[in-house]
Amino acid sequence: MPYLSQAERDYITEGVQSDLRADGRGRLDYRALVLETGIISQANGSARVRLGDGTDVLVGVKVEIDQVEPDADNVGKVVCNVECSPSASQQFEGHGADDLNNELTQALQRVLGGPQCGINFEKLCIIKGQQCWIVYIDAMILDYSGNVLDTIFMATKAALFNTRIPKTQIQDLGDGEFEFEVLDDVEDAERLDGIENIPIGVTLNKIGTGHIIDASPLEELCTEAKLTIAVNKDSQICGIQKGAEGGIEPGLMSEMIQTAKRIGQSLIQQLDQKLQDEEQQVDEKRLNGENIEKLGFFAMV
Amino acid sequence: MSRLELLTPEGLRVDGRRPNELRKIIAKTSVLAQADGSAYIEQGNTKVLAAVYGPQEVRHRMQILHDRAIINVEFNVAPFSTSERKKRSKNDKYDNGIKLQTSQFPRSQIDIYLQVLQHDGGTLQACINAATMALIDAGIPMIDYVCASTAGCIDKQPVLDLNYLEESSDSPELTVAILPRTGKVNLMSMESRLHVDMLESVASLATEGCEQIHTILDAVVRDTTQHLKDSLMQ
Amino acid sequence: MDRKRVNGPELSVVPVEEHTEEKQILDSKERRLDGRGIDDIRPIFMKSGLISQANGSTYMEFGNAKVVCAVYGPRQMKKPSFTGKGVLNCEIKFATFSCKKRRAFQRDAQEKEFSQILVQALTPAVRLDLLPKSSIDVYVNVLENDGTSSTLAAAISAASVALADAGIEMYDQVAASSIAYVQNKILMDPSALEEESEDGSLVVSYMPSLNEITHILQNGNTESAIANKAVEQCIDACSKIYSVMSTVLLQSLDTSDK
Repeated sequence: MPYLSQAERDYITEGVQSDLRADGRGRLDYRALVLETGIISQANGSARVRLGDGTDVLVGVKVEIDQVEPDADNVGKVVCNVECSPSASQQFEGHGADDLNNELTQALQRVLGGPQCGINFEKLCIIKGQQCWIVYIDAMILDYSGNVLDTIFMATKAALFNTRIPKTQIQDLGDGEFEFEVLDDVEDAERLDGIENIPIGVTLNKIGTGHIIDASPLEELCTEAKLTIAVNKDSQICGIQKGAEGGIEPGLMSEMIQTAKRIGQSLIQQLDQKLQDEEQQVDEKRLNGENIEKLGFFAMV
Repeated sequence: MSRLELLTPEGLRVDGRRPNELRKIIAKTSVLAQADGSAYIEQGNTKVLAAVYGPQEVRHRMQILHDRAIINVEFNVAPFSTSERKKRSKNDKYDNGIKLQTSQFPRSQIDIYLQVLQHDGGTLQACINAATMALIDAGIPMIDYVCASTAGCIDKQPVLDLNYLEESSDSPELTVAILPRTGKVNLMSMESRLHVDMLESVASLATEGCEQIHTILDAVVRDTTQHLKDSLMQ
Repeated sequence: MDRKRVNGPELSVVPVEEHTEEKQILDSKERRLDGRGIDDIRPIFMKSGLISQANGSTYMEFGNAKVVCAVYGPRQMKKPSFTGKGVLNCEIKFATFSCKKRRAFQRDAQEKEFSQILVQALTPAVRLDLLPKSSIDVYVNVLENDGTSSTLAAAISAASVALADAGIEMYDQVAASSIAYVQNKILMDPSALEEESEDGSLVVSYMPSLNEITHILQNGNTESAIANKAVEQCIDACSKIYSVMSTVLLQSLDTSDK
């Protein structure tokens, strides 16, 4: 566990106070990020986000057919899993990342596993009372430079935008028996219903009396309390979770929620715009019969 | 349907390659910020990321070797890397025969973390190549590159660099890692049955593949270094 | 499969339940199934010092929810390593029979997460800076779960009382309460039945004398105005729970004096 000296702590806290952080950003400035979708061909959808000079998250989405749950027989579900690779930090070697994996998995699952995630779960059901699609979201943290949870949310939204579910054809065998067939045609695959409503997370770190977004690793060490707020495009709040080991005054908290809502809105707008632009470019290339090259790790930062 | 035709009568393979042809290889070093050295390699559709930490203090004092460094390898497969999603446990199966000048770092440890992002056959060879690149990136003195390649045998025809489809259809697969400068073999592993008469031709084909890979990796390393030099000169 | 224990038969079917008429969560006068109004919390019973082995302990009933909490420490850390501040370890376990569905013996992902939440909710209150090189271990056992979010809130309050009972220095007591969003209404302290038809929930833990929120957890989507109102309601309820907690601690002092 790295420690922060008192001098470093004071430097960061004073910086937050005067709205100028160590890397020249203001309190509410985000770092530049690199985003690309569709880089894992074996997944139904994928995206990689690299934030600033280091946080690297790769999300793969796979859809699989499974039996429906007996107590909810007309819906499919979303299952999230987050894994920190030791390439991000030596602390994650062996079982070192288990606690963090669990914390991030639960945070993601809480927002995306329920109705607040906006995906139409009923459309994921293939035959009522029998089979449904299960959407597995696997996020991998490959490199670490602060603000992991927000990056995961962003990469997940992008990967779900990129996800296509194969179409199914249901045959009525009579006697109330049904059978279905998965159509192999890639062109026929559909996008998930309701992805425009998927929320993203905004984490606010309280340092001293101020709060900042998109904290760097040193700023995270200096954080007294952090608040992750999930917001969707209609500026509804889809989840709040406090982290770190300090308290927040109620007045400051409602101020933080307002800030998060505002920032979340503009982030979602920018993200949607970029995703649509990228898709348009890919579609154009496909129409012209050009080869679609994915940059992956070869993208310039 | 009868067995999938892996070799057409014209001698072409399922992905259109000739028997002695490698898949497209692209690699890049220094892709991660936290690690001391890192590399990313794509061999066809197999994608591997490697990170190297060290040389550094040994974490478990029990393991200290007084005359050289210990090498610790952790191997991890992403759940979305194969066509069927599954959660796999971590294992250290691929403790490969990487050739380092470990005697320069007594009582220390070098960690290599391998992450398979996409699996399409030849994971071991891609891991070895990625680890080599990451070690070079970390600036750890090495005797030579360690280049690995696979070769198999389909219908008595030796073929180079099997993909997942060829790998999973019961064809034997031999992985060879060599030190290209001396031609010494570092690793040779096969977990399937191959007629002994074929072994020599398959092994020599794999060795040939290793040499080709060496040229490609060397070009990447030199290119990166040149780039670095240029930016320093400015 | 767990071979050490007797497992159920391999093939099992869902029992056929007679379809009962669905009960309304709220009647026309906004009374709930158990007769409470929407702002009322369930009656609380609390007693401290029940577990003789532990340095501090509490038993708490929150309506039907029952939790037992034991605190051990401050004691030397298991791994002898230097830390300038003490370490607070929390472990929460749902008894196998506590929920509608049987829980496993091993801690599952939710229990691990709740343990983490408990640490985050209690740490701001405990003066860990006075306890270098030592650890405090808090074990919470849920005997009966009547609404997951209200049980979590009960666990936080109970743990706080147990810490005080162990004589550990704290800035303030942490009281926690929960609400459920049901049909655009805010139901205070929801029971398991009400939780089934909730659109979302909120758990707030709060230190009344310091006026500081130590933890907040919300799921389900709401407008921020409603969320703000819900937080305020939770804070009010926390103050009520706080008075119960203080009374219990004072009582335990009285009995120990005799």
